[in-house]
Amino acid sequence: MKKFSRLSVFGSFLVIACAALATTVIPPSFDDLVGRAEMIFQGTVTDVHSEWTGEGAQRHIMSYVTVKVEEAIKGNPGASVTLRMLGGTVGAETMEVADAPKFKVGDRDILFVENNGTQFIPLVGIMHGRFRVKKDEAGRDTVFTNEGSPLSDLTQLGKNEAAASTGRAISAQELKQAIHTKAQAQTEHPGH
Amino acid sequence: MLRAFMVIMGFTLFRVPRQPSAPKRAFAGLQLASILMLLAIFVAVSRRASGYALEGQHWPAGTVVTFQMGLGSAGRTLIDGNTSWDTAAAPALGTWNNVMARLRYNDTVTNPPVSSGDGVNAIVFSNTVFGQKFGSGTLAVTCWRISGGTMTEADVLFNRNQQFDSYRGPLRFGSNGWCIGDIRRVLIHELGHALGLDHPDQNGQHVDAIMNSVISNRETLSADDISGAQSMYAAPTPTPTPTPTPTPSPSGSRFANISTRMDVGTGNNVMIAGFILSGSQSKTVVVRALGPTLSSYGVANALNDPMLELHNSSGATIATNDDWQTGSQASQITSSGYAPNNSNEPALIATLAAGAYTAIVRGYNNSTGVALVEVYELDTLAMRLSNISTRGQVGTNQNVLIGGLIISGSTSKKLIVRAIGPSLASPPFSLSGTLPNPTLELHDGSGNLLASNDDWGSGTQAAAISASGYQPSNTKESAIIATLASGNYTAIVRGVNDSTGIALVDAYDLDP
Repeated sequence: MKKFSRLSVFGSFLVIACAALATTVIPPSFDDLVGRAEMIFQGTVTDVHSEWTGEGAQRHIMSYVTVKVEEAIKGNPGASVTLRMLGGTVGAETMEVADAPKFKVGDRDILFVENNGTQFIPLVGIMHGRFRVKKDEAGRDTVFTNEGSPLSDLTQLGKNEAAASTGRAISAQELKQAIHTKAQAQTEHPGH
Repeated sequence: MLRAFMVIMGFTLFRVPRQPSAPKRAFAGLQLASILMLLAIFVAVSRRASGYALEGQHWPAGTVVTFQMGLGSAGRTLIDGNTSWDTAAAPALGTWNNVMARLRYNDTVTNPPVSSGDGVNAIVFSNTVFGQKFGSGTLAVTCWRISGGTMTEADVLFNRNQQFDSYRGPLRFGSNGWCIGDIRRVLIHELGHALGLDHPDQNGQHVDAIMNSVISNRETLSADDISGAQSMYAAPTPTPTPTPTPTPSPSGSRFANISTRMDVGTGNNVMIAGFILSGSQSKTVVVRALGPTLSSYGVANALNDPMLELHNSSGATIATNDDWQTGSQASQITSSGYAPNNSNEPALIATLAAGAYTAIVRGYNNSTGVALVEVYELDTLAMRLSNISTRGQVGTNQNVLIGGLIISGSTSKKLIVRAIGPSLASPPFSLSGTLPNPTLELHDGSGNLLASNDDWGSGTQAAAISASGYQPSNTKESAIIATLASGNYTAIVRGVNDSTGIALVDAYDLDP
């Protein structure tokens, strides 16, 4: 019992340290992801293109990522959504934003979208608002983080990102069900 | 106390470790368990520890990337004592410079435009990312431009709407439970991106790195971060410090080192040490402040995290340092042989023209405790350290004011040592709480008392002291003239009848 207590004390220290915040972005919890997203959907990327936009000091390269919506989970995304993201490549010129997710045609994702058109990367928590959907050996859709790590524990998101990716990836169906449940709870009990 | 001080000055001392009391032994067991667990985790991690991650592009070899820093005034005193965001964050550039050969970060403090594609590398606070919202939870964003496969510009934008401070040590959290961003460690991370480094933990690696995507208690570069930078920009080759041709000192002896130790307080009671360089050439010196190192020599209540500032006679700041390894001079300090033992201790190297200089030592986050400030010559040019003075609060027992001297050379040196108290109440000091009646003792390196004085005018040296031109202005103040052979010496200032207050101890070279 004493041994367990010591482990608990030390374990708590590690959790506190690791639950700290990303240098660039504070990782959102699952509650934050669902609560802050204006729309959540699963879809497939059908087009990515970049172009110059703006004038003078605000002239930048913007990328436009069009996603065909296959299943709306929160909000009303419509048949497709075009995400407007800072950065991209036009000719020999590239503007890159650290930590920005990189999309390509054919990518299958579950996306948590906020402030599309006004935020430099219109995803909740930037890279944390993108989950990749991949088939496992059994042909089941499973969920991975933007960086390709399996998403295994929703309760650890925003607390311990490493622990959230320890174990087998949950299925896309499980994630979508959890989102529905959380969104409904947040609607019924706003602020909780 | 005196013996402990002398150990710092190069003497030896044996200490008997204390046996922990019974309750402490139980706690020690817990500590041991934690240490063993840490070791186990370290071993486990070490087996997987390999691999920084690269973004895929970098700057051309030999590039000097000059950042225009426009973070501005903090409008308050930050936790580490800085009042300027730029000053607090700037050491981040030196941190990377220390480990790279083929790229150098420079900085200028200005008010750069918040724009991308203008060829200006900016580090600024901003409300937006080039006109776009940051999004809640974003602390800072680094953007870079690539033209024809080569990096041409990098900008670091800090979110003005997030909570930042500047501090060393473990992460701190605000009342909302969110991390208070330490601007320096965030900038080290962002500048790593600007070099071309990616997050190792998001690329299948499990390493200790400031480039990991999750901010942690790590506040400076790890071996993995350094390897990543050096994979693109090579490791610096240590270059020996040029040794000027020595010009014999006018006298055959010199102050090779001068130092003082005292209890560092806050406000007017921080440690203020002055020294004078005389001669016609510049002199390169190491100035350092020791705190934690004193603990290992048995000094109680040592200052845990000293910070050092060097000012010229007009009060302008010449250089500052908090932790010597994080400054841009880390490799030079190591090469000098005067690197502090503890990473929390500051040091700096400066090449100074003749004149008066002031080193100020304060505790990080207004902490207090006993510290030692030292000045060492790095050359043997004719120009010499001719004076040291330290002002501070004189207490009792271990908290009296102690000044140290090392005299080197083949001949003896004549000097005057003084203890100044009541005259500090007059201009230009105009201090309150001065020590009303200081006494002065001069000891040799073995702790033997060589001379002592209470009121300078009442001793046998009164006439000589007057003739030296350095006689104290108050009769209650003390002075000793001595001719000393090569060796280590200490001067101790106490208050008569254990009185306390602010005093100054100084020493002047009386040789022509």
